[in-house]
Amino acid sequence: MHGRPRQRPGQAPSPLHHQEQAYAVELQKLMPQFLQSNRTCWVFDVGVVCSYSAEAMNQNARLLELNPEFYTAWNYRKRAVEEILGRETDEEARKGIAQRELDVVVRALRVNHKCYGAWYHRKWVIGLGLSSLDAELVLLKKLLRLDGRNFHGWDYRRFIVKTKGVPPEEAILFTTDKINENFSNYSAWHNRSALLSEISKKEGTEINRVQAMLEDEYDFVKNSFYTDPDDQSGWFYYCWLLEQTIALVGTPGSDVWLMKVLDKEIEACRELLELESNSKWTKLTLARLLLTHASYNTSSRKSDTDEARTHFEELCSLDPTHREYYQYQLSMLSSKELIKDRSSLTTQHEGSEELQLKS
Amino acid sequence: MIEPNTFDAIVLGTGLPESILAASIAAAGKTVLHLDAYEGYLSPWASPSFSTLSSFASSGGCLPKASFSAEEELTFSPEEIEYKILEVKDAPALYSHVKVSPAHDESSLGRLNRYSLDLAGPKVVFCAGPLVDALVSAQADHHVRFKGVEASFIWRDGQMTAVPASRSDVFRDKTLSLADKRFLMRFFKLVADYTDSEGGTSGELAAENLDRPFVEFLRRQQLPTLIREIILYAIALVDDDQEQVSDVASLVSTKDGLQALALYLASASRFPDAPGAFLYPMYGHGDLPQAFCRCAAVRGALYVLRMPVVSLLLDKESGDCKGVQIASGQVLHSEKVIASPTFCVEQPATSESTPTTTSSAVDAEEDAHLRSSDVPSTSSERHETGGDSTKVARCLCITDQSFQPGLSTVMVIFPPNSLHGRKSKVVRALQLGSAADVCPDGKYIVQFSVKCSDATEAEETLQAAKDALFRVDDSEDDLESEKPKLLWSIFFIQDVSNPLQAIRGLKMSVMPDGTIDYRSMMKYTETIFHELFPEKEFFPKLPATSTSDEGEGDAVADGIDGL
Amino acid sequence: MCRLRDHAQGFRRRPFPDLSFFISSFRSFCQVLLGDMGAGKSSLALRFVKGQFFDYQESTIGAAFLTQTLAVNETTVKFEIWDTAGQERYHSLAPMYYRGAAAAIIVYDITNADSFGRAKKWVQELQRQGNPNLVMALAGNKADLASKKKIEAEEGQAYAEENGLFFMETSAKTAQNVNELFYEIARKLPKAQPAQAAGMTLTDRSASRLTPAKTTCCT
Repeated sequence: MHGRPRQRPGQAPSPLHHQEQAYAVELQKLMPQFLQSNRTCWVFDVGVVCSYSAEAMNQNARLLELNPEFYTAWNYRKRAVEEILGRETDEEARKGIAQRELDVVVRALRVNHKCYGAWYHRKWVIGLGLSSLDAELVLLKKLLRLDGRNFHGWDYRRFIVKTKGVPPEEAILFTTDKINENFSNYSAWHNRSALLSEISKKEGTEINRVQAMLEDEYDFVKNSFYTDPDDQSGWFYYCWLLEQTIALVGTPGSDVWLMKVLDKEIEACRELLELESNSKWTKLTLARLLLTHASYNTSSRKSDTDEARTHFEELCSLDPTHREYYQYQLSMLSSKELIKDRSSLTTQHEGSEELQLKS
Repeated sequence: MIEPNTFDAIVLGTGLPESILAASIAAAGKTVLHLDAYEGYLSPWASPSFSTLSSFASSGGCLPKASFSAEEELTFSPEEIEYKILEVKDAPALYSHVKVSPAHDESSLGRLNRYSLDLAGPKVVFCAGPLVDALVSAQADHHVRFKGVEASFIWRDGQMTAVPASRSDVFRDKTLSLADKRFLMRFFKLVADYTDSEGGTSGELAAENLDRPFVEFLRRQQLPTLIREIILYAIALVDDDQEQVSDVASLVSTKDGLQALALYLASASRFPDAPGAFLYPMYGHGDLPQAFCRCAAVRGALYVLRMPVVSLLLDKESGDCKGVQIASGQVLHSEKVIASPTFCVEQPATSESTPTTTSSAVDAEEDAHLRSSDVPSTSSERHETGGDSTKVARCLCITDQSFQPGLSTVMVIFPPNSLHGRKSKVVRALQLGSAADVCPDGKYIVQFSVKCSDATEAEETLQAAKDALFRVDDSEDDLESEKPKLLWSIFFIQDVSNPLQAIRGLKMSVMPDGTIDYRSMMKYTETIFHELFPEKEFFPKLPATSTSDEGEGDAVADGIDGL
Repeated sequence: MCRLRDHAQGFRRRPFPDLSFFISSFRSFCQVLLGDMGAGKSSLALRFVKGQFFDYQESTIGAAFLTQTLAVNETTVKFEIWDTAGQERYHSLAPMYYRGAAAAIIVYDITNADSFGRAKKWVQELQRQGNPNLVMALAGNKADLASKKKIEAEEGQAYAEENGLFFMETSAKTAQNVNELFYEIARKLPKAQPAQAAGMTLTDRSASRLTPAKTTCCT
């Protein structure tokens, strides 16, 4: 295994080693048995009814507990469950079968909680419609309390929420709770952004509502960097919000709204910068806000870009690790100005032509 | 009879400090006999049932003793004693001014056997404090479950303001402005830097500045008044008014203040399952001594309850402690005896003067001398100068609903001058619900305490705090009707002063003090341990085993417990 | 502030979330053993948990509790068996000892009539605690010493029936009926996981490996 030193000859094996050896012996015993039943089942699959013995199922469960990454075994299990469910008509018994599958998944997850095969199997079992979705939500709440950033957990939660048909407006409350618990939880912010997109893209969502929603989000996320300006997750979410705000440009009434939002946000970042003059993220975000402002408001373009330039220049010394990036931004600024200067020249030129024609 | 009859240490009383001492001495490999005159681990640190507390009240403040019955295992034919005998009595007047406001209808209280009422309440445990360390090192942590205190509030301008104590609290707080959030977090960062630097700080926190008053330091940080008040009284848990100082000794130094904050912040982030910095033991504080006693027993300490001690035995020549005689007449030998302050031992007559009891003052000079040598001065005790100020007034109330809807385990701090009538003392209140398993579902217990220099004043102060939280019966006000209704309450004043003794080998333990946590008690307990067993370590730390050495499979079995 | 995390934690691997609560069939129970000194409480527990027996078992085994997991009817039951730690000797058990228990085994020595008498006292004591869901078992231990028997099985059986306990004669020495006793308790325990006493333990997930559970009883 990765990162584990090689066993020196003559060195006493660790207790863990013993345990692993025991697993290996068990695996060696289980594998041929499994492959045998797997083969038999393929043979039978061609037209003949295959029977999955209880013993084979138990062996398979144990095998998956020892090696959850063995996809063939998950597939075998899936076919077996399909077949067993096909024979069973009693609703309670069918539910019991599904429950047993969920337990097998957990045993596998305990060995490797990042095993895609196991999570996939769980989704498949839930898809059978024999299990309580509410129970899954309760369990997920516990899991995400133990490990708030478990990617699989969040992904699986989105799946359950979708299957259950929970409206995104309701699902978003869970992310609020998780963020209130710990606002450095990037997974929660990410999930929140996904749900907000869902709401704004939903048919019939009025533009005013999306705008109000985004404004609320700005106020919410600001708490994170006033509490801890060095925490990245809030800033990332903030950048995402800014993108969403710009994306609204072109819809009726949005341009005035955009300027209002940008003015307010620029002001907030300046205030924070007054308190935290060395905050890298504040400076960077302020520079970005100013450049956005500049590209939509010609009247203040010069002062905005000049202010952004000073921030980038300061960032070069403040955060030397990313110096190259800031210098690139600075060079982009200069070239953009060059282009703009040129285009204004052309306009003038064209204008003079027009004048000439008229005269 | 009790066998064997000779021990390295004999502990009398099952209060928390005595129980911790029994566990630590047993853990040090010494033999311990733990005796208690009461039934069921009753002590000033216990959480008696409703009926036990009722008999406590009706007797005017005496803990009901178990009737001593000479069980067959304990029968003994008295022997001739070759020691000097000092009679052991109950300490007089540990509790006074006991007053019960009975329920109009007792059935409104629900099932009475579901109540556990902390005699030492309100008290909480710091997550990163010395008591938690002792619980873990003693391996007593397995026996006690905790409920995290969900939120703290500070009473200001007639309403409650949440105390933001962690990063998350500051983030979600709705009363602070964004700039205030930054001020508060910057201040927390300063404290964290101070902790990390381990004293080697400069500038604002240079060593010469650390002895200056904490309140001045806070003022220099330009923190808004509300935040300053929160930090002083709700986070650093300072006991006395720092703004209008009557006595310079009651000013907390910058160093002490910062240490208190550091402990608070470390506590707030120690356990993922705890919502804040404080814990409350399920079933009440009375479970803590029981857990330590169990640990002592596991390590071989011998337990005998319902066994009064009648006398202390001293060497005729040296006057050193040699053992005790119990009610069955048996003599038990030990050169080290630890006694709860509920006992009172006759002072050995050093001259021809009549024997004086420990709790009555000896002459003032000796008093001061004994105090300084036997009782380590802690920030909370240092300033108490005799008389009535070494008392604390407590009040336990039963109510019909939470004063913070949706929350159950909640602490409220009433800073100086915040209550009606501008009471100058800090009052602390702790609400507990059935979530902590100390009362029936739907009922709540609210405990109050205030340092007491005058009984009437203390009672008035606590009444003002009660009026702030509970419904005034005849009020038509809508706001009032949303407040909890007070169903039952008990008020009493408890003596905190520590008995003096001058017998070599005898150590008196302490009563629950007026602070809200266990820091000073732990400090005292550890000192006694080191005085008795200077060569031993107080709860040696468990050897840390590396997590990665264990198979993941094993995690299952122990993992389930937490859920 | 984040840097104020428990120092030890910083060096530990990120805790692996324990997913046992996802398993529907996992149940965990606390169980206590009561009885006279020398009746064989610790021996029964040791036989059950470790399969060991010592002729001269020290009266205190130095463990606060032992754990053992059983598979019963497709469910997994974890027992946490609390030892009296000698506090029963002068009837000085702490109230906390009874409180969390889902099951209790009252043990007496079949060769000692006094111990049977005192077992009855313990039954009364448990009944006084008033936990209606407590599963109680009466075990007449030292069944291997049949020649010295003072209490007939019928007597134990009759008393158990009168008081709503179930009864078995056991021998920690020969292992007779020891596993059966615990399996029978596991079967009688409620099928659903009881609402665990709410509240947290002092150890977080990552630190739980440092708790005494491991060092005192599983090595």
